[in-house]
Amino acid sequence: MKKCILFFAALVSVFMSCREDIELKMDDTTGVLCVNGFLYADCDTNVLYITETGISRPVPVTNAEVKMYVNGVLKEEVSTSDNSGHYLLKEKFSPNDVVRIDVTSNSRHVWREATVPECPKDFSVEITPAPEKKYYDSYIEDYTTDNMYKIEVSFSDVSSGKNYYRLLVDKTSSVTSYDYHHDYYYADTVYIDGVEYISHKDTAYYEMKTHHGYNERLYIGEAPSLADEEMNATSEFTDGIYNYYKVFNNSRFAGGKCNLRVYDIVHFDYGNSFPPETKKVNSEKDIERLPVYSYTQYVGIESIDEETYYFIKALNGYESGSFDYQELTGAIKMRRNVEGGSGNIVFVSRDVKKIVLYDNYKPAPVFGEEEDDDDYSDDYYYNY
Amino acid sequence: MKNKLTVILILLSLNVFAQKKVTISGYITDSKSSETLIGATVYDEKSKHGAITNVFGFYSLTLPEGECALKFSYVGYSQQTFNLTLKNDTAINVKLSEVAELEEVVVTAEKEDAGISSVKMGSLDVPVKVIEHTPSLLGETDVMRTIQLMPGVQQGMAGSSAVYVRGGGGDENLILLDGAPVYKVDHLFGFFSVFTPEAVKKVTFYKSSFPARYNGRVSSVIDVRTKDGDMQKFTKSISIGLLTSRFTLEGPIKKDKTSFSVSGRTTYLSLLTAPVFSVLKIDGEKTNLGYWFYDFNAKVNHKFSDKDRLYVSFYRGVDKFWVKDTYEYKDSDGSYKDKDKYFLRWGNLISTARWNHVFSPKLFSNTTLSFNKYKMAVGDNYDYTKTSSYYGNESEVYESEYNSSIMDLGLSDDFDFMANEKHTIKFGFNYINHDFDPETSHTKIKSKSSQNPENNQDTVIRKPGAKKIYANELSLYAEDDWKLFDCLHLNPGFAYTLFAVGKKSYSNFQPRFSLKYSPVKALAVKASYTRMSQCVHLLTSTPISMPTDLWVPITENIKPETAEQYSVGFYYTGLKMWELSLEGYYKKLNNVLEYKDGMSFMGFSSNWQDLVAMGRGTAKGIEFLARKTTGKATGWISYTLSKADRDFDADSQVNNGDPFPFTYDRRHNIGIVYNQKFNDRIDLDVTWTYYSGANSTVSVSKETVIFPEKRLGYDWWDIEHGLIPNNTTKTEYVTNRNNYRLPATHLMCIGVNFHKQKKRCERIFNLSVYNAYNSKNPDFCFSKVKDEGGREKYVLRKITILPLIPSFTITYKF
Repeated sequence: MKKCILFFAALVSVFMSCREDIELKMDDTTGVLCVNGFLYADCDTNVLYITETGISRPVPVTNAEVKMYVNGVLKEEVSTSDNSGHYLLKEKFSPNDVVRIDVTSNSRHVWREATVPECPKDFSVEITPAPEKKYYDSYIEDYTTDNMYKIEVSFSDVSSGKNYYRLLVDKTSSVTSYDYHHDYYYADTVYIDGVEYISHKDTAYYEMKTHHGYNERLYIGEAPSLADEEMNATSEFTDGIYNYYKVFNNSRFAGGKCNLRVYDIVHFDYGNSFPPETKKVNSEKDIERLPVYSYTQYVGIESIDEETYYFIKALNGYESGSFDYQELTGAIKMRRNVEGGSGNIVFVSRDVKKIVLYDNYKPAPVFGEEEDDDDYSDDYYYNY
Repeated sequence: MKNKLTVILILLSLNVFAQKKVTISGYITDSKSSETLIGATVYDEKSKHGAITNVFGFYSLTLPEGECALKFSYVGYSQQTFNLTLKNDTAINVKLSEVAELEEVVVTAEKEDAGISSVKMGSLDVPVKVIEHTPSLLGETDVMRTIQLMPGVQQGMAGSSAVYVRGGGGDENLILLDGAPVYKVDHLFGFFSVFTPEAVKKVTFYKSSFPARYNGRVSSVIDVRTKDGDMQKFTKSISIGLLTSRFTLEGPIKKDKTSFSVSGRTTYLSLLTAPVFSVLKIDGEKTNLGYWFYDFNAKVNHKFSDKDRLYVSFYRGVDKFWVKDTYEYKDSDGSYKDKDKYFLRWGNLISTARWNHVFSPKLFSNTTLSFNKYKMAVGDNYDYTKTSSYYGNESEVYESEYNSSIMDLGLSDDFDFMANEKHTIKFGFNYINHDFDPETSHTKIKSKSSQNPENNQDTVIRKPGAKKIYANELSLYAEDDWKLFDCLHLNPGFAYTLFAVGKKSYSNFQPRFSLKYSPVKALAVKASYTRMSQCVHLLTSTPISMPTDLWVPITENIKPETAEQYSVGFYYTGLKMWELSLEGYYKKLNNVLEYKDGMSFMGFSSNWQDLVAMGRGTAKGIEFLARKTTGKATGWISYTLSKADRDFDADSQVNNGDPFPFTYDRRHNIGIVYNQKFNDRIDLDVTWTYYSGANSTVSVSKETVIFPEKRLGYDWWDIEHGLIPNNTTKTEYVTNRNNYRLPATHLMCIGVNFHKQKKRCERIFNLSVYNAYNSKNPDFCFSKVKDEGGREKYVLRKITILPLIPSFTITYKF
């Protein structure tokens, strides 16, 4: 598709006779107060980002006054921020609370009032190694999985009405190794962004079960009529919108239990593999110097409201490059839920599980010569 | 109640005391080619009754027994009059001769008197001659461009052949080719329509008061009929233009029994651009970019008898665009070569078989069996070969293709029943089986390695995308053309549509009503009410027509779009050689689709129904048309004053529930067409159009948008250390949709035809200039921040893509 657009652009350039800048007769829209924030129930600190619209970039607002009401009661007033317009809210609110945020600055007043969604119930996560399976990557080259694990997520829908959720999967890993050249230990911790799916286009690794008895390679949420690839919707050829933020609704499990199955790759800093079961050593000292592996998986389910669901879907479009063609389509109006100004204040309830897969794990020492092609050789670390 | 009964009794008494009636019927054809004439008139001067030939050239007229003076006429043809004494039902086939000196371009509204005779309104017949005499881009005469010059019709993007009728969307036009709907009607990303002018016999365009037999789209109907083929002699023509070449060939297979017509068109744009790409290298790779399309029409027409005729027509049109990269190197060790070809291919395949049968002089039927397939494919073919003295030989072929298609199988039966001189009843049904196959893909991999033969593979992988969707659409219709009095005609009718998709079915009753009051011969006043429904939508993402735009059916959540239109019109032919009409309309659209806020480019069908919202639209306007249809100078002037907007509920997530103008809500539209025949050798065609600016969504500031957290793993919330995640970015701040009216568009096109009679043929040399005075029209516009002396400000960047473009075409007619 992009080539197609490029072709059209080539045509345009061939025929282009004139490019002219003319005066734009429109009302000034700078200085509109814009408040944004994902505010989490039962969270110690929430952050609001307050800016105002500007010509080439938004301008941080540092003189705003923020009031937070919970169930009609003023809970907190904040008037200090950093230079970037971040305002910290320390008071907590809970699921089902009616929360109102009022922001004033230079006689501008914006607000947002909403009921905090209910937290997902009976949330559980189970992680097990995945059996080997053949798969194809985005270039349709075939591979076999050898470092996969399966994350099974289960939770109960908060009600039988329309509900909306977001899945979060994150992980951290660390390898503490000994640097033979400089004779010291160092730790290398990486934070891995989201789920490393085998392939965004390979549908074989997303499964879903519902209380209706579905067990198919169907994706999270949505009715099956036209809407299949909710979690996995992208296409190499058509530049589809990928569900980058993994939002879904309860249309397939309304009022029941939702079971999700996500596969992930064990991903240490260097190389994609599980830690070795054994490690060859030459001396007792080497045993002390064995690398230490830690690996933690985080899985969360967020409950969001309908407006947020569509807002995040719009962000999926943004992340998928759908906003790249504004010269052709015109500017795209972003969704907003803040009254009197702009921005999005989103109330979220969530449950997060932390699963430690490797906690200071050391491979078993085996006496013998180290092989040259070991990815974890000291030279590799050193050169890196 | 008493009054009503009285009226009914009077009406009945008219029939009771009527004298014996006889019916004359038959075909009106061209005397030279035997091509049937659509919309020709039969009129009895004595009884003042008349009839018009239908789309197959058939007429039927019921008259009182006795003497009559029948006048057969058709615009551009010599009139024939017969004085007859009618005693029994009679079949009269009439051949009319084209009159050389009347070859001026004429647009008719069902007949020569500007639609005064017809009870219908908002319809125009566009003969091929009008199309041929409308100068166009690169000399490509085009059906759609001629229609764009009619009142009430808007052009989309500059140069595009898309039409937007009376505030309706681009997908709300039912475009029929010999009775079969065409899904993809353009070539070259919308610049040319698929209709080869040489293959077209007649185009009828409806924008209100739709005949009951038309269903499925809410804003307009464009009914394109192709030539049947000359029954008498072989004729052929060849045209060579800057962009395309065309040919037509028609003639008898068996004189007066069977004829055929074949025409084709192809472009050689790639040949013109090839020299540029032959020297072009991007990143060391030789890159070639090409585009090609063709159209092929074929039709066979067989006359079994005066009662039975069979027409079989076929259309195939394909577009292909490709980019080829080639990279190679050689060294002492061996050589490496790879070729990568990316392509887009799309096209229609349409075939219809129609059988006309005259059951009796009063009952005519047409049965149509149609097949229609639109298919789009995007693909990538990659292959490389490597020869190395060390690694041996390796080769790999990788072919990947993504497909999307729609296939329709249709059956319809249309009956014309001329009950008596007062009632002409049309009824029938139309059934279409839709097969939507939105997304499928497959990949072939073939690799060989002389060193590692165990890795050789020959694999085909198929990936189903979105599920196939089957839908069934059934329409039943009936209408009565009722001549209540000589001055008052009515046309009540209805269509009933049943559309079943998945487990859901929708039914829609669509009443249609037209009324004509003609107090004097030269004046008619008409009014109509029409309800239409539409069960398929085009998902499109850009103003240019992309092959990846997808037609999708309605779903359980997306209901059929409906439109109700009220029209009133005045028609006057009292001025010599001039026809005047003034029409006003008010149209209400329901369940019209718009993208929700923040949703845009889609290009794939999954979850499309989540991304759009249903709302309402209104359109209203006044259209004026003045036409001069005879004389050396002909043409027309049209003016439209219109307004169209959209209104969505507050919870629809479209523009916060605030109404906003439709993109092509252009307030004033003027179209002028001027055709001047100087002599037998030279004629001149000029068009001038003016459109008020379209609406666009423009931003003049930027706002912050926040993203949800992507991570949970580490301590984001270590605020005490100042680690506040920066999960925001900037985006355009937009107050409302379509918040800016772009500058107006106006352009003139000129074409001059030089005719020369050669020994064996006629040569026509056409010289055309598109955008003759090089108007800098706003073909694309977007806002942009500009630094002016250290001060940033937004400006509107206007890009004109179609400047003055001269072109020529040479045509030989044998």
